[in-house]
Amino acid sequence: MVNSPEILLPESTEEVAAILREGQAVQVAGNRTHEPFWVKSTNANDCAEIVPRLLSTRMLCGVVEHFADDQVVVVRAGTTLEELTRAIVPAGQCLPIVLALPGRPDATVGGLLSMNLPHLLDAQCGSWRDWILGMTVVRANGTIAKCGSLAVKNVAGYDVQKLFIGARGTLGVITEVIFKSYPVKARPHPALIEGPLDAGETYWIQRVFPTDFDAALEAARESLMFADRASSTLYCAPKSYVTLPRYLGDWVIRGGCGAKNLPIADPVQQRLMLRAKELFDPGRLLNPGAMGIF
Amino acid sequence: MPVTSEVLIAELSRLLGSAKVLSGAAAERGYDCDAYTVDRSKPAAVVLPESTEEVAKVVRWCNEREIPFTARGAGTGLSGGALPALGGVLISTKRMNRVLEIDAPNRILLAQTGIANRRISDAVKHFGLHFAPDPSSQTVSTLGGNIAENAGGPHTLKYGVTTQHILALTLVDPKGEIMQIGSRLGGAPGFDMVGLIVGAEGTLGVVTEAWVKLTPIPVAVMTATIAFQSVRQATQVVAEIITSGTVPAALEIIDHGILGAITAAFGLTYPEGTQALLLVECDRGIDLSTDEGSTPEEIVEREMAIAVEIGRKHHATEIKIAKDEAERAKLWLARKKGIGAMGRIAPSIVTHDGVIPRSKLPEMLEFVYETAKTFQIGVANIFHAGDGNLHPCFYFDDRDPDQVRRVVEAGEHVIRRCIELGGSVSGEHGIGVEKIDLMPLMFSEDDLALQATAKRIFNEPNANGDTLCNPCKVLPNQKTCVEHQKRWRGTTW
Repeated sequence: MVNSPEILLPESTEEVAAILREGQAVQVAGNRTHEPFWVKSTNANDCAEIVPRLLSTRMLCGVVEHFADDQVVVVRAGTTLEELTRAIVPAGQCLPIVLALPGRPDATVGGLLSMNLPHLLDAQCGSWRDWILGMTVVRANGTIAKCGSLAVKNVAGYDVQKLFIGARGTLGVITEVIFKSYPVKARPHPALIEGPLDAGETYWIQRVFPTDFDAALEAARESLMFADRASSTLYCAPKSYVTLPRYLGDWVIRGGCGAKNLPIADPVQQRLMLRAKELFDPGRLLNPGAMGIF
Repeated sequence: MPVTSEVLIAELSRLLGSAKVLSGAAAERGYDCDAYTVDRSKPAAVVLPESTEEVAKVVRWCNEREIPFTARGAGTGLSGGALPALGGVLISTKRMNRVLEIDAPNRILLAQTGIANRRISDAVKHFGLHFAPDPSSQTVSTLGGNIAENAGGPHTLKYGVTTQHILALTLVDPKGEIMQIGSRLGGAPGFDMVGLIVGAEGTLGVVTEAWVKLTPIPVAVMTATIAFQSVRQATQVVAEIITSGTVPAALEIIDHGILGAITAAFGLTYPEGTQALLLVECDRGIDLSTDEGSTPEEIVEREMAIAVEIGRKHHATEIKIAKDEAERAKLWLARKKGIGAMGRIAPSIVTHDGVIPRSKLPEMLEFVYETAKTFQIGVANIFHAGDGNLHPCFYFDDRDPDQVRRVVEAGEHVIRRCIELGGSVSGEHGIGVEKIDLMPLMFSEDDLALQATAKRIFNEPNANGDTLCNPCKVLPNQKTCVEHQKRWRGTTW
């Protein structure tokens, strides 16, 4: 390890913009609750060593406004999902998102949607992309831009916000998010198949076709933490020497496996992502290394 | 190099066979606009490819010749998305209408994008599945058009718009390369390129095939119509149903203007003095249950009881609950045929598509009626109230240039108000050419620059800022378009 990074704690979108205008590389993070899933996180070339500046959104927090009658809530990106939930539950509302990995109460909404890991009501209620109506982002050059609106339906222009969901902070820094909320009483309960493990050093999240689910479940056996049949997703914590089988058309996200955490193998997808990165962040200042391929 | 129209038609015919190339007055007239008829521009030729490869051939040829091209499905679009704004080649997906693969156990289907929306559901009905997005045009509008516009529909209140049902797609990119994008499983790691392409109005390439998500047909459905003596009562009821935490499948309002047309066309009658009819549908599938121990039927009955109770509280004058499928279809008739029936009232209609936060519905509707009065034009409303998605239909005589001008101005007046209330210039019809000049009302230059950057991932403009792939759509100030706009803007005025 080298010296601990310089930690920047902007409290507003404008402060984030001022930091990015300096034109230096930054590691963007929320509360680092999902660090095992970062690419290279267990590698000797840890991102924190390459980038000595960490921009944390954790002080960029709080609910901006809850439009209870419209079931819309605007929050700063560093707000934790717990805090957001606490703010809207009194009105009988929630985000119908149940985090898969327990014990992460500090996870920020900005961080969570940037990671876009599957959650336990994915099949019943949809993933992060289905609950986001708009965003404010700071681009790599420090420009502030908004997309979306407060309306629950909107097709004005390109649906750019979709690109930032799951982009792991590599295309811009999300500073504010407009969410659609959901009635608590309509929220279904996750139906999980429990496995023998609670946690592990490495994680293996695998989505397969429903027709492969039973075979995958059988193969996972002692590596399984739990599985969600509705979205045919398995959450495993395999020992490092265990190899779990792959199925046609499936996908895997890993944790604790360094450069193998985010396998993006399809050459077309790789090419499009590189192109997007080149356009959005030509200087490669934002989260270098975070997508594995850049 | 641009070519003469004879050469253009000869070369396209050599490429595809002459049976797949249309030209001449009939083709020009048939394809010079979509269902947004105010602006028109003639294509130089229309091609009818049957496969992805044929689309790619045409697109590559257009690139070699520097000829603009625009894809078109059924032409039901309401914002001019399929208008061949700079002429050139119009690529119709009409003959690309096959279902290619059905994977019922995994609830996914692969189809060519020229297929009519409804035919997807027809193809999987016997598996108890359907394609959930249901734009009112669904019997004709195509999957490709729905993808381009990110189409909505009455049931998107509960089931989500098109983007939530498209998993992967085959794209012929603006240069003519064939790309497979997305994952049939959804949620795959990496940037969400499918999410960007859906709703891009055909400006990022031509989507030729798509894997769509199939949804189980609900096992329990209840439909009701509730009549009110004022529009405000109906909109208030919608707002209260939403805040009650009930999640109906559809919440639609039809006002007296439309009801009058429905009565004239179909003989359906409503209580004396009805100003608004609210259609409520509640449904439940077998997959979802929050109330252990309740059957889907019981849950639906409870939800409907809440809606009806709120309706009563606001002095509903008539509540009709469908007892069977035939009655259900009858209740839906007013909603589904409403716009068509309007044809009896006026020679021309422009349907707008503003959207606002739902609690603003009562004041917004009053604003719409006031606007019609101010601009001295007729207005009727039929809309997705549960989503806050307005569809004011201004009706007029398009032979009178002054009326056309007032209609356009009234539309802009309404849209400005939507933005002031935190809404959007379009909920489901798209920007196309119709609303392109309104984009700066909603977005700053920096916001638009972000969108322009995203567009460049697929469609890099030339030095003049122009592109060949569906030019002049979505983003304002594309150079050549501004010059040409005079040519097609309000051709019918």
